[in-house]
Amino acid sequence: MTNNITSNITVYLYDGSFEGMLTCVYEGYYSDDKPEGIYNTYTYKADLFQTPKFIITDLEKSHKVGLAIVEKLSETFFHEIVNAFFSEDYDVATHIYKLLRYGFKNGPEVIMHVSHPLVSAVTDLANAVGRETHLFVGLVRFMKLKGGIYYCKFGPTYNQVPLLAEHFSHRLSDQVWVIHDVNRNLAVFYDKNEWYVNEFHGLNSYELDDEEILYQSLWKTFHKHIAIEERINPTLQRSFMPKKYWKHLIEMN
Amino acid sequence: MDLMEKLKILAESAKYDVSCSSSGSDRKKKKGMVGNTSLPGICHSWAADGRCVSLLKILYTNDCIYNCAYCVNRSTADVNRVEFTPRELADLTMNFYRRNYIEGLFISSAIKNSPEYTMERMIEVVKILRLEEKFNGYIHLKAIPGVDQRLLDEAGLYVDRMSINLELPTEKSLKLLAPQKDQKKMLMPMGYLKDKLIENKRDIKVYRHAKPFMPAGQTTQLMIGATPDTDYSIVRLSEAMYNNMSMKRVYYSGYVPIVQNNSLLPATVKTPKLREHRLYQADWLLRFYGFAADEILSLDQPDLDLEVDPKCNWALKHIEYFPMEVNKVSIEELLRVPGIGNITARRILQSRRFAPVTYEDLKKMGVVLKRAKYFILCQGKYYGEIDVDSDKIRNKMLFLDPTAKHINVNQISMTEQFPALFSG
Repeated sequence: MTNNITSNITVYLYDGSFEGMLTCVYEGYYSDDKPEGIYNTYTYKADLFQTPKFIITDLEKSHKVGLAIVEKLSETFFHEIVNAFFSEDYDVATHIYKLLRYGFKNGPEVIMHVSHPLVSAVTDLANAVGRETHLFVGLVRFMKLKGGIYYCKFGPTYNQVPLLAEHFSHRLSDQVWVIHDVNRNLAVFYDKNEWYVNEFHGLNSYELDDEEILYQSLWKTFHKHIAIEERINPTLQRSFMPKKYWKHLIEMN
Repeated sequence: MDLMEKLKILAESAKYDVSCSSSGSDRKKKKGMVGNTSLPGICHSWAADGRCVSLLKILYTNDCIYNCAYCVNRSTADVNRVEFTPRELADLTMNFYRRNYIEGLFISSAIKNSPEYTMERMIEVVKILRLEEKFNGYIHLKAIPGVDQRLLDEAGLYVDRMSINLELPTEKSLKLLAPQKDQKKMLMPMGYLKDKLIENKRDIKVYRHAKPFMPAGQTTQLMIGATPDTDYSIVRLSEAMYNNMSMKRVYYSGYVPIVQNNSLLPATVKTPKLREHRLYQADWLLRFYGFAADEILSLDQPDLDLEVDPKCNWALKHIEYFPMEVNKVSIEELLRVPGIGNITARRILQSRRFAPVTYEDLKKMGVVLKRAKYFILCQGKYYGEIDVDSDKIRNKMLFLDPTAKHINVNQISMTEQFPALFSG
């Protein structure tokens, strides 16, 4: 068949969801047509030598893979994969697929072999995302709106919305809050019981709580006067809190 | 006086307290309460001086009966005196916390009327937060030396961490600059809290209903550079604090000459930030690298080397232990290599279970090769490119380090030596 001469490399495409990616991993194990790579269908760049095959997300299959990672590998392994996935790196799903094949064959401790290229491809991404998550656990700023909803706008480099939800559902468990990623039009909503992630394009208009402006300016005052003037060091400040995050920080505006 | 003005004055006076960490306490959310605490701590912002802002660090009042020479709030200073009401401070904390500005409260105070009076007001703030506002986040309370033990017992039940400042490294310096304070009076409550902590640790294991007492332990702070105390005496003191008082941290605050025209205090301090930095490096060696104070400094060399860090300094003096084969030595030995820290040492150990670690791997793992390469062998090969000799390594390191040129305060500059070359 002539078709096979020019395009004999199969790649799988998924719908962009974590479950979609895990379904591709499942298919990669059980179908005869083994993929060389796995890509997000929305960002995939067509390649002359690749035959893309779209895999429909199947929650049962993805659940099986997720369970296998936790049980046969480890929870650490699972967390590394989740974190790396939300980096939205072009090749991340391929890296994860290859690491999983390597892991299922050689055992859970391979994740500690950080100098191995298959491992570091995933852990480096996971570390970068994890660092930013930790930063945003601190840098998220809520505004109190009329009616008592706490609303936060921010613009992270990686997709942090799903990763921040758990932390804030524990911390501010008796508030209704929304964390809104304005770059991805994605938000997590919490109603004092559970949280869910959904597409969100922002509010057309909102009214602030009567005391909101007061507390914002109190915070700005505190932030300004807690610094020691003799030791002003903007470079150091920027290295901890890069300028790209300042836009949504009350104290930096 | 309005809240904004109070906040401004009392934050301004609290800024010389170094500690702002929110670590050491791991408390889950509780039903009906607001907040939780995170074991490693969380930074919420960074101030213009580059220091992290984690807690609402504030004085309860700046009205002081003491007259310590180095302090902005000494009784003879000409500043506005203000005081929060406990309710105001509790509301401020809750509103900041709910907006995720802060991790909790760090409450300190000047001594108004008497130590007891002040401590009782501070405990009132903490109790409003815990009992009325159901605040479950982090609270750090600066205890006041000389108060009744009853007050320490009460505060310990509500706060995560307590600290008592040592202020100055030696009794002699303290007598000179803060004659109303007494080192024994500071050490006594520290010892008392240590015993309480040990007792509580045991109780928690035995009794199901035992309440945790200061789960994040105690810390202390001392000022450096205002008095002629040597680094050796400071490092020895810190070691004693860690070993005998089971301190979580000793903080060092480089003296900022805020008070002028006082014959007891220096008008300017040479390289205060660098000295502070080197002391922290030495402190880390004590806590995480298994060093003893006498290994870092001695009576013959009482001050830290400003040009190279204390670990490098140790390694250069004990060059006979080097180079070490990274694929063979124990973790204790790895930790003695300049450029290898706790995290990288652990990574090396994990990685060499699978395959020998190569020089390229070290870079990926985060080893600082510009320092480490002179002290290690990688699969038998030495990458330092010069002899393993203290003077040669030291010179090469300083030559390659662009910041070292600024560090050497006594270095004769070229422009001074050859003014003709640079004129016109």
